[in-house]
Amino acid sequence: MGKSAALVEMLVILILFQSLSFSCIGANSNGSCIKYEREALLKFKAGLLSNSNSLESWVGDDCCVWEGVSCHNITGHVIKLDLSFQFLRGKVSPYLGNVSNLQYLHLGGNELTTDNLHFVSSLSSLKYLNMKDVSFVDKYENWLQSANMLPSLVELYLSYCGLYNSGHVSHLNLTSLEVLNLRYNNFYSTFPSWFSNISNIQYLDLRGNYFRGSLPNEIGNLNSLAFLYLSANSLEGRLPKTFGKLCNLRELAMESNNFSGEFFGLFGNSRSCIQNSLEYLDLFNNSFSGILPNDLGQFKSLEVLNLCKNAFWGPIPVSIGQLSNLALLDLSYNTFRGPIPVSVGQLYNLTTLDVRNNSLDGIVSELHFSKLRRLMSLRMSRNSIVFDIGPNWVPPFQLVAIWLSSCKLGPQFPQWLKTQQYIKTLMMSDVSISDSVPDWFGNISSYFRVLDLSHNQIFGALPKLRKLNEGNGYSTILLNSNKFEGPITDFPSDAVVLDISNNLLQGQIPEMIGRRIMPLLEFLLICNNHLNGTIPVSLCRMESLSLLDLSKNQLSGGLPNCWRNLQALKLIDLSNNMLSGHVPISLGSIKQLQSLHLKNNRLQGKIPMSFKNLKDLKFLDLSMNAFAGLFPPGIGESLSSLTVLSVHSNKLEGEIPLQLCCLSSLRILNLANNMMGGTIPTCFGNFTAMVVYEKAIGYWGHGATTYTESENGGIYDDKLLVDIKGTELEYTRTLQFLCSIDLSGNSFVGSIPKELFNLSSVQNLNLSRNKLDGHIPWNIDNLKSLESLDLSKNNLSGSIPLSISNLNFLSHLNLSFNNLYGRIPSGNQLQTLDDRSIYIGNSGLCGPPLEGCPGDGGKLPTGHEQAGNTRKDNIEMPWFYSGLGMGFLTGYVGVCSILYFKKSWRYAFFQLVDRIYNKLWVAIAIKANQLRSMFQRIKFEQNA
Amino acid sequence: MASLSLLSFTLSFFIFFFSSSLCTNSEGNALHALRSRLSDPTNVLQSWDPTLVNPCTWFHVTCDSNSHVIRLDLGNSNISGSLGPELAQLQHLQYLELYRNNIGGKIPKELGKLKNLVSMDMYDNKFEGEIPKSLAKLKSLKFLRLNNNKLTGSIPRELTALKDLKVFDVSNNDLCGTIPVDGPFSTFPMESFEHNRLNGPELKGLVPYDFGC
Repeated sequence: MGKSAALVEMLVILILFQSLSFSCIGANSNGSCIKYEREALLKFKAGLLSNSNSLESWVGDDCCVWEGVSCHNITGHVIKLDLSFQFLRGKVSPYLGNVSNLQYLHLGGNELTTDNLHFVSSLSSLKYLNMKDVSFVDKYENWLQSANMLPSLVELYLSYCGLYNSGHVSHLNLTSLEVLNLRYNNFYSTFPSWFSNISNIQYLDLRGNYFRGSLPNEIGNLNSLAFLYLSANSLEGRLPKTFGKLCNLRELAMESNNFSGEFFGLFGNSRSCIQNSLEYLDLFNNSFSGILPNDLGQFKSLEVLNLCKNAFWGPIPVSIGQLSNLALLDLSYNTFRGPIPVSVGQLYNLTTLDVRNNSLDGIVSELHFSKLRRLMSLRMSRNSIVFDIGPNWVPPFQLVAIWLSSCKLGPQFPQWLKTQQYIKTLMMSDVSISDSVPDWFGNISSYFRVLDLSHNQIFGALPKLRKLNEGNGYSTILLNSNKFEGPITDFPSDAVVLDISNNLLQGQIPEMIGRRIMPLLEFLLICNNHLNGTIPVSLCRMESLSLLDLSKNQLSGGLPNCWRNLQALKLIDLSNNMLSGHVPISLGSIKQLQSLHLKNNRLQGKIPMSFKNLKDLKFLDLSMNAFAGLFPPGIGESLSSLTVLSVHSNKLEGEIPLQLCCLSSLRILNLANNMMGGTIPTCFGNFTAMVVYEKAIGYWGHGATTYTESENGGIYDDKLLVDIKGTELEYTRTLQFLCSIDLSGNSFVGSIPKELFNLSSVQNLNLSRNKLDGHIPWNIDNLKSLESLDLSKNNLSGSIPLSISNLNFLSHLNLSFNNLYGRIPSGNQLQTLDDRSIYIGNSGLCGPPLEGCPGDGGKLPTGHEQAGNTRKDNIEMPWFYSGLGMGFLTGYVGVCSILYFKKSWRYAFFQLVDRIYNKLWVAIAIKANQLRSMFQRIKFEQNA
Repeated sequence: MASLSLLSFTLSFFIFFFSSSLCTNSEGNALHALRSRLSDPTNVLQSWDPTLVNPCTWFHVTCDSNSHVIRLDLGNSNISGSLGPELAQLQHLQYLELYRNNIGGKIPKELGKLKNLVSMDMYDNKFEGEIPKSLAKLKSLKFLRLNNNKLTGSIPRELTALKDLKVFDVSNNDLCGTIPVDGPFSTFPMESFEHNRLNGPELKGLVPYDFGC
């Protein structure tokens, strides 16, 4: 980029010399300037706002001595007006058009506006026009029409002008134009055809517009083009074949478009010309594909080669080592394969080598770096590269940034790092180090900003970091998932992210952790170590703390009661420790808290009422503690964001408060294994988040990725154990999709409210081990997402609704130990649940997978048999029928003989029969109507 | 001695754990490969996150206690696309429920490697090509429903070796040849074969099996 600026400068100077070499000085000697030009300039001055630089020096008759004004030494005409970067504000006066001999006009770098560009059309001598930052009131003006009247124009700058119209003329007169800069306007159009007619153009800058579509074939006509900038547009498609004719290109920037197809292939035969000229090539963030040519080394002038985020593939050619001018080589985020050629070590001007996120493999040795004495940034993360470097190697470079995550550097800690004194970023996650951190490591840590040694097998004590100028920039320290042991040591006090989770650390959390050691900390993850002792009160001094994860340790004692200070906290995870005592009320004062995990501790007492103040709370897991008393109704009333509520395995009593039904965001409710009773509220049907199948509620990851640029540390996923499908599963990222209700192991009574079956997104319903009675609701097939249903160990009676066979995702069912009877419904999905144990303990159930029902041939239905089409009587027992016959006969004979012998009985009986007949007739007529409508509804549902 | 046995126990435990975790990863990868072949307009596969250690919390996937996939329940899910050989990685799969979708292409012969399969329900789809002979290797198979597809060719004679087969349905396809009568085929009703181009039951000992197909 520096080169391009230099060229522009050169051009400017050149023109200055051409036009002014025999001008300025003489103009002053004439004593005064031409009157109408002076008046035009004064009108320009009058257009400026008084609260800005309003050109105080512009007084007196001789406008030629005014600041920024130059005149012709013979004619006295103003030929140059350079008011660039003068802090001018106001409106450009169209009277400037009267300064008709103007050759150079520069108004850029101010805060000026203009209605349009009409005024320049009279400036027929104009060679240089710069209107950078001048905003156009008429944004849709066809500015090209005015510019096209200037046949001498060599340079035109209309960058940052807010223009919307990319211009159109019938015949382009700009035959002298060499520089055209239109960057950062709002041209929502395809690539204008007139660009291809500027035959002498050398410099074309169209960055940051909204040009779309593909480049036209005619672009190949611009064979003087040396600088082409098309970055940050919406251009797409393959480059035209004619692009290969642009063989004077020195700088080409096309980043952040959607170009595709070959790039290097375009220059087939003509490559010989472009490869001598091209210095700067930036194709970042496109979809270019193809392989790099074997003779890439022929691009001798190349200084910058940025191919990041494309679809290039194949090997990195050996000839790359011949690009002796190369300073930046970025091949990251492609699919390059094979080894990195040793010849890379010859690029003695290289400062940045970036090959991250490819499929490179092979060995990198000292030879790969032999002449890279200017290298500052070495980025090779996420390849399968193995480093083979001796312990005594002294590298020729001093690196500032090292990104080697997931390369293989171990098992020894890389000794060559010892020589690197200026490291700011050290990313060595998952590099197979099985070693302790050497003593000298503290010496190279003076400038650390990001340190990532996560996911190795590093043992021994935590490293001692010695930072110079602590507080001069923030630091991120990721040492998680190693085998560090011993106590938590001091870390630099400017640490913002500290992740030392998943290690073998012992001892207590330092008493002073918040007060002196790390007051700036925002992310503190120490989970899964062997820490004991209590949670230090000084933690509450970390006023920026946003994420606190101390889970999976052996912490004991009570929770500190100072949470009121930590108003930035969004997540607290203290689960799986041995914390005891009551939950302090102040925990309910953290207004932004989103996730609170206190699972599996020894906490007791009531769930604090103050939790009702946690208005942003989404995730509340209090399970596996000894919480007692009633469930606080306030939780339902005010926590409208609450999505996960798990209080299972506590000692809660009483009924479910109706206020719970107000939790309209709730998707997971787990009250299992408490001592709650009463009925299941019918208002459970109000859990609207479980009715409408909304797309995922968003991933609940909490992470410091903005600081770390690492995917391996400083990241927390909300976790939840869910009892589903007869087993316990830990949900993390899939939690966002789950809807689940678990009320098992309580003493709930009454029937299952049919409203529960409106919750059509519920995948897991567990009501087992209660005292529920009544029937299984017939609308069970409304739960069309249901995968796991457990109603076992209740007192449910009646038959299993046929509609259960419509649940085509059902993969776990348990109806055992109830009082269900009748035939187990058939149906192809239900047939796959052929474990007998899911139906046992119901004396009246029959049919597969249990024994056949009485009167069955014991034959399985075939695939033709649709669910619920056949429904035979359940009580077809022969002894029952025979007894029925005998009884009927005895009763019939008895009654008839009495009627025959006793007259008064006879009269009374037939009167009664008459009355009943009349009543029945009316009743039957009504019932028949009702039945007809019911059958129609059932038919409709089956069709649906 | 005690410490030695403890060591060997923990060692074997780790080996077991490691190997089993490797397997579950491969099962997740297989399912993810399946996902990439399918079009899923109603997002039934949206929870299939390949970054998780195993697929056991993915919807419509069920694992056993060793985190091996034993069920895939995707019936009536509005999915289309085709199946691939990677399904054979699901070595512990017992139930493959893909019925009532728009899945096309051939039934991969690799499904014959799912030696624990109890149920293969692929009816009401657009499967074409032949019924792979390899399905005869599914010794535990009880339910094989391939009806309402576009299957061609003959019913592989090898399937008569499936002793546990209780339900077999290939009706509404484009099959030809004769209907086997051996083994479990002696018990299947004629409705399981109707609406094909089948020539009726095989005449044992008189005519070669593939006659007229």
